[in-house]
Amino acid sequence: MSFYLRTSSGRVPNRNRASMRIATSVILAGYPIGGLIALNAGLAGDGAPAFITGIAGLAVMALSVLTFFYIAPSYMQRIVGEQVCELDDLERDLRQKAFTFAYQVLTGLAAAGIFYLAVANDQTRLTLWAPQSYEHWNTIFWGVLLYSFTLPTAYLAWTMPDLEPDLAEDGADAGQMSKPRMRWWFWGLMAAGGLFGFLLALSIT
Amino acid sequence: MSSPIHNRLPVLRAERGLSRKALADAVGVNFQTIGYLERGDYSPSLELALKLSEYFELPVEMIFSLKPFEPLSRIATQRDQ
Repeated sequence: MSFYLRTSSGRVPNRNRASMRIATSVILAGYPIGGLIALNAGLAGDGAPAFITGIAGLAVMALSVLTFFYIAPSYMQRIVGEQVCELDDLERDLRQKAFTFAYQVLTGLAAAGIFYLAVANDQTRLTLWAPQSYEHWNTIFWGVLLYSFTLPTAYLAWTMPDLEPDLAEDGADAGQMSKPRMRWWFWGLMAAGGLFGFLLALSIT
Repeated sequence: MSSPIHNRLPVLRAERGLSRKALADAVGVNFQTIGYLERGDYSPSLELALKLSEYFELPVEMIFSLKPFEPLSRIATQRDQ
């Protein structure tokens, strides 16, 4: 699952490789670090220290989320987030490689996380921290979402060959991509699915 | 990792006086894709290889090969002898 923020003009902003590497690293490292700081602010003591630590953690998380909006309209994010029918042969190839990498990493993290939860919930062995409240699970949910959006782009940022030689030879119109039409039926289906799930959850409880 | 696929695209393009953009438009890809192909940074799908073959009116194996192509000068010399 990924996401691409299409600009209103259809133009893809120029993001160089170094900035994409830094941005994806900030997102992938910043969110879990910020989350750990914010959720464990109580360890800093009572009152002002806990409040300041909590705010610092939230600030790091906010930086991580805001950084995502830097990469969201980029060419690399377009490759992983755009509709497949809008991509060409090379872009489809890169997308497949990026998703394969992201799948391996996310499934590895999920397996490691479940193993950790199993150990943490086994009271007879170790006493480990485990998420319990809505606040904990909410932080984890948005982290997983952010990772699923960013991991394929991070892979491209570190592995994709440069484009510059082509731009120099054939003109600088590489940034102009066609703007596909909105697929209302698709978004309508998504919204209907979400509403149905919500109503189902309400009726069950 | 798969072995690199060599191609004659730069030669064929030069022969016909085509820019990367013109070739890209003819086969329905972005012009960067042609650059990537020529540099051997990526192997084309079967669909793109067949489109290029059709466009140049040449068999696929004349455009793409698993082994490096012999230089045209050497082929010409051998023909003369």
